[in-house]
Amino acid sequence: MWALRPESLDRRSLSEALHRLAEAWSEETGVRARTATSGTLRPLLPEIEVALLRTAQEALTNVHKHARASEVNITLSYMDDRVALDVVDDGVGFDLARKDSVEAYGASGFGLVAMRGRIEQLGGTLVVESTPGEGTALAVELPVVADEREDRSADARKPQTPEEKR
Amino acid sequence: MTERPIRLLVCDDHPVVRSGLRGILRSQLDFEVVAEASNGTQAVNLARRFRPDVVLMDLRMPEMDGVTATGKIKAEHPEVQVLVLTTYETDADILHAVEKGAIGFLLKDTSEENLFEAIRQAARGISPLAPSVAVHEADRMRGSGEQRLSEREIEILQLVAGGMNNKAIARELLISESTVKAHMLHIFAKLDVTDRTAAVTTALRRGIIRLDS
Repeated sequence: MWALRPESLDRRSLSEALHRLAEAWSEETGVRARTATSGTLRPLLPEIEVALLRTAQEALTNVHKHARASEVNITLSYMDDRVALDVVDDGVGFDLARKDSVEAYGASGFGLVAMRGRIEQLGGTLVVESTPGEGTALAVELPVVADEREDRSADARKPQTPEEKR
Repeated sequence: MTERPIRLLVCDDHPVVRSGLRGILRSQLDFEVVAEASNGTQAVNLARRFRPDVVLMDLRMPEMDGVTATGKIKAEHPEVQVLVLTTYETDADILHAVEKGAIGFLLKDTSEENLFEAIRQAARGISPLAPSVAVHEADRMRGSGEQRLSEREIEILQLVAGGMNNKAIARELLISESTVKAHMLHIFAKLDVTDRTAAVTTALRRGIIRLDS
């Protein structure tokens, strides 16, 4: 069983998974998709990482179906006690005050509605920001539940990026 | 429940696990185990033949692993839901399986009730929640003790100093306003201030940011 460990130690796995998702989606849709990460990468509880990856999948599905975007930016932001995932497109956007408009955007969005439920159960929030003509941003914020079990713990607490030295 | 039962394909290379699952699942009237596979190749073939509603998928198996099998099954039958059953929560393959289309995961030491509920949710297209999270939720209440600003926080503070509001900063950094606000709250807490002006003044005084840059 110890042979299984090294792979699970890879703290970049979520950002890499997001990157691969963006690349595949971009190839399929012809819409440019970029991924970025800020903050100190660290392993999170798999449930958190899975929720973030699934939300990104649902968000990209919605962008493809409704946004008519030319570019999407996916950003994973690690903060001290929270992690945020933003999926920002430059598409048509919609009027948040109009229910039919919101529903049109999320018409396929059963997945997204279900994800909102999950995110809230995990103690997080899912927010959609949009203005007609100015694109849409989907923001998920979750409490960071560091995966500090066993031999990951000591290593995970060490600073991973130069920014810690400031 | 008068609806047709949820049809299940159980995939695990351990015969004891399979028979155990079969026995447990049989107790539920709304479940029907239509087939069992002992490796990924079999799972793909049986999914093709039986079109189950939900596949319970082990990850480590001979011949073809669960991640590969998940990808193949989802490619051929997107409507089939794959629920990963794994021993280790730290398994990086959980995320790989979700990438390939698995709807969620469950630990093998989960309770029978959780397993039943997760299968019912998966059949409805809902990602099941692992019960371990509630336990770890308390962890987030611990303070980090980290008062230094992160690179991103300094970047944002610099933009605030340049006169940008949250919306403009969000556009500049290609993120949501919500996330800008979250960063601002962290900045306020670390600098022990309650508004933007005080944050900028304090950061300038401490040399964290400069006005001319």
